[in-house]
Amino acid sequence: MQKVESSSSAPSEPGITLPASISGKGTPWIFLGLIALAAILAPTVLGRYGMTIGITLLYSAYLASAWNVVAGYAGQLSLAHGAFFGVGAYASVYFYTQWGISPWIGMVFGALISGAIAAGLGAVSFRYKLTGAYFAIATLAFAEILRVLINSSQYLGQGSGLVINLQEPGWWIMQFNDPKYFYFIFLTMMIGILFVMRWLSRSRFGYRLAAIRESEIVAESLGINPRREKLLAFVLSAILVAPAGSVYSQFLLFVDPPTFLGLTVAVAIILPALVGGTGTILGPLIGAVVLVGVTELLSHFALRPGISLFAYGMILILSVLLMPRGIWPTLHDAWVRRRAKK
Amino acid sequence: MIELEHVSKSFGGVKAVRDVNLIIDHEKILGLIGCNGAGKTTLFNLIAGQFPATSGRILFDGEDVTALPAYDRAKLGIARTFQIPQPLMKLSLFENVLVGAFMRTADRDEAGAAAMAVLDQTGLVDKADLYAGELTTPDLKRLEVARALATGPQVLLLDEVMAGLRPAEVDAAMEMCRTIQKSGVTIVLVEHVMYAVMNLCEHVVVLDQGSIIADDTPENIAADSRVIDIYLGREHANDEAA
Repeated sequence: MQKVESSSSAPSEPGITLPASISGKGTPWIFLGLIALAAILAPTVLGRYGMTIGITLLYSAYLASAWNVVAGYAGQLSLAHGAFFGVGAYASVYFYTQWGISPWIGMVFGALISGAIAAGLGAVSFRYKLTGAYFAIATLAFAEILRVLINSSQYLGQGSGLVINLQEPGWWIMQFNDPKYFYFIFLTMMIGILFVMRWLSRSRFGYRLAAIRESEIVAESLGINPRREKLLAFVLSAILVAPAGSVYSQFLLFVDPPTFLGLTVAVAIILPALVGGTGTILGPLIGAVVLVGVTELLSHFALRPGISLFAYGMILILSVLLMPRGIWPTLHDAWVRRRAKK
Repeated sequence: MIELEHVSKSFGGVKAVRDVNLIIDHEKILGLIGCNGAGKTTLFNLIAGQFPATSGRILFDGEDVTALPAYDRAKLGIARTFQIPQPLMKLSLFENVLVGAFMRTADRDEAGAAAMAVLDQTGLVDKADLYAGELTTPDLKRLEVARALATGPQVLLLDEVMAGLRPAEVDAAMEMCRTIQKSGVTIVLVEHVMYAVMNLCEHVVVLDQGSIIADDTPENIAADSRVIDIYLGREHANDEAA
């Protein structure tokens, strides 16, 4: 979507020179590389507490990015992502505590279960043409039903959830002495999902989703089957969300309904994407940096309790008032316009 | 190429299209005229498959497409524009056309090259990086045509692409239509700009209250007394005949 930068190098030879968005030129690789390097070196500088902030930041950014796939690119506002996140967590914890199956394998199953549930929910919702607020309500209703079911299921520990017993640390059981390992897992996942979104921003599938988001009637006139593409995006998004639940439950060593299911979880997943900018590659990450960064720093350094929550609320209000499209698209456009004037 | 057999469409109690029989020939420009509410756009939507016909059959190259949804008909080669331009707002002009080009290939460079070729053909290359909000009305109409053309259609349904254009712009649009026809694309034109219809089309069909009342060459249509009474009007008919 970020394609305005190509205006300076307008294509002159048709069929040969493509605008930068599609040719891949103009990607600030050096800049991104430096940030990645800083992120990789961060654990050597930051202490345990800094690592926890890093983990919260990366996992918020990852979840928002996964939601961005169906909401930002395809324009379908899902509120079921809290539930998909919980499914990933419950699946891996249940498999491990019941049968001793490695959380890595449980994570794969969690993603598959999450995708299968999304396929069912999406098939029904899109079959009956639920879009916009109606799709949001349908997915919210589903998420609440799942929360109530798990909350009353004896196999899944009802309201108190499941606890993972501490073992001798090791990669196979995803338990570590040092939080930096979780930091690296989330960092890897984050980098991976950035590439997924980069692919979405340039591929046929991504452009099909964008067309559907802007107008389903136009999309159909261009040979796109909206029902099919929306379903694919929804399933992909659900599959991407679930593994974050698996890893986060290993980090906390438990899973329970309030932390992993329900509307509050869904909202926490969505907000960084809204603040940073939906339908963009970097928006969710930037939103997470702002939201998590500011609140965590304030809760650490502010002299009075509650200031961090106040700041969180202020960021939300200000971003809606001043940058309704999100921080990243607003700044990006302003920058491009300034450069175009020169 | 496209055949309509006894096609009707009702919206509740309103019969928008009544028992239409029509044959659209290969590589011709067919004009579709009639008063507002005569059913021109409804007929368009029926051919493009935006909604199903209440009764009747629609054939494309001898194949029955009556039950096919719009996206499948697009893949067969029926492309359409929208009367009110419907640009994909958050995409640039190039990307709008690119979505169309992606119908025939999944390869990014190939689709990009095809999109640039169409932009060149429709005179939009210089504006490739602009967004819909930055385009003028004539350019938005061109965008509609370019996006449809990028799908590599056999038939192009143009819904009032010349309405609201200035005379010089109408001439440019007519030139564009001729170029498209010469590249082997059949064109169906819904249009109120008589000057364009009379000069472009080999064949004109007149709709009134959902039915076809005349189906002839432009010269004969301009002289048809029923068409003059219902649609063209006395004074205007004299203009065209002159």
